[in-house]
Amino acid sequence: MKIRLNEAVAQAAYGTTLGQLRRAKKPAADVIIYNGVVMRPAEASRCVLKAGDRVALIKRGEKPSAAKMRRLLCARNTPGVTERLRKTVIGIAGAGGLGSNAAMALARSGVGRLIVADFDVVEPSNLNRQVYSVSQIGMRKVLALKENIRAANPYVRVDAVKIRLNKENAARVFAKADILLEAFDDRDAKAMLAAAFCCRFPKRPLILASGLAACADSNSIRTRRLSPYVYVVGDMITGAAPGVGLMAPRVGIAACHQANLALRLALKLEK
Amino acid sequence: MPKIHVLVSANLKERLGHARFSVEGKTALGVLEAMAGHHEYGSSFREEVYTPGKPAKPYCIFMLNGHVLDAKTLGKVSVRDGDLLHIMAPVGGG
Repeated sequence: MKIRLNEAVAQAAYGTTLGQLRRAKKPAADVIIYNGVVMRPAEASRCVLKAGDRVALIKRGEKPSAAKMRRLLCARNTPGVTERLRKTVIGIAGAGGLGSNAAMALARSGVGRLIVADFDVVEPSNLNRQVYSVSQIGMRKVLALKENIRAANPYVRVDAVKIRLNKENAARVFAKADILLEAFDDRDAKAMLAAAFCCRFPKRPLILASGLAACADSNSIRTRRLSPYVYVVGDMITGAAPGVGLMAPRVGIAACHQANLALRLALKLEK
Repeated sequence: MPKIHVLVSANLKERLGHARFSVEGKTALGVLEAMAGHHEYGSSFREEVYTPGKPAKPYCIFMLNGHVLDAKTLGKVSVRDGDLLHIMAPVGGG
């Protein structure tokens, strides 16, 4: 029968256990992933393989070859999603707190292509919530983000667009995006993007964000569907303002809401 | 005159006192003008969303029956009885 071993098609005899497969193919493997879940050796010896199963055998500390690396990076993903995500193009308007965190989550999930647009450079006040480092201060955010994504998953295509988005260029920049995340700080820019993208591509999903500042209740951040193609993430109320700052946890929570919804839309899990 | 439903985002609800409104108007802009002139919430509406004779606030997103509208063309968008106009004013931060 056919199974997938380290994401490559392999043959296994009926009745073979996961433990037997490990002993035959990679006895040194101490990380055994079965259909996206880590198995203990004792469990592996009792687990009889079925056709279509996906197994990853990894030796801790061993750096796989470039050919195997791509397949192993997403071994913990739910089986079957990685192939679908590889074909997905997601646009991200803004590479700040929302955009950088969402981009990293999507890249680690194995999304095939990200189009990230931002005009700004990394500066010290960004580092409390954005996925950049001190050594990247002064770099264009889109280039710093591309560098960071490459370090985490070099197989994601990142189109780093150095541009200040406006109503004239936004639809063109994201013309190839299946789904667009609005990740701006400025509220006027959020509305500009909604009008520019949705009027041009009314049947492509747009995921807005509103209300993620301060240290308010984490659980007040929700994902709401405003229309068949427009969603908004946040508590809708807590905006950045004098005396109300932006903090890593809630910005990250909102960014991951956006990223998770984008995955759900890409995988057609949203009705 | 068509009567439509208007739904506003949570932060606008805090200012206007209600989340849902029933408003008459021939166009989307006409609906906003009617709301701006309302004796109870008109003043807050003018501050937060639209003052007649001026462009709508640049942070407002208008959706008619789920379709995002270009704020500059609201006067050309006819409305019908029972339509739903959603007004969302995102708050800043990202």
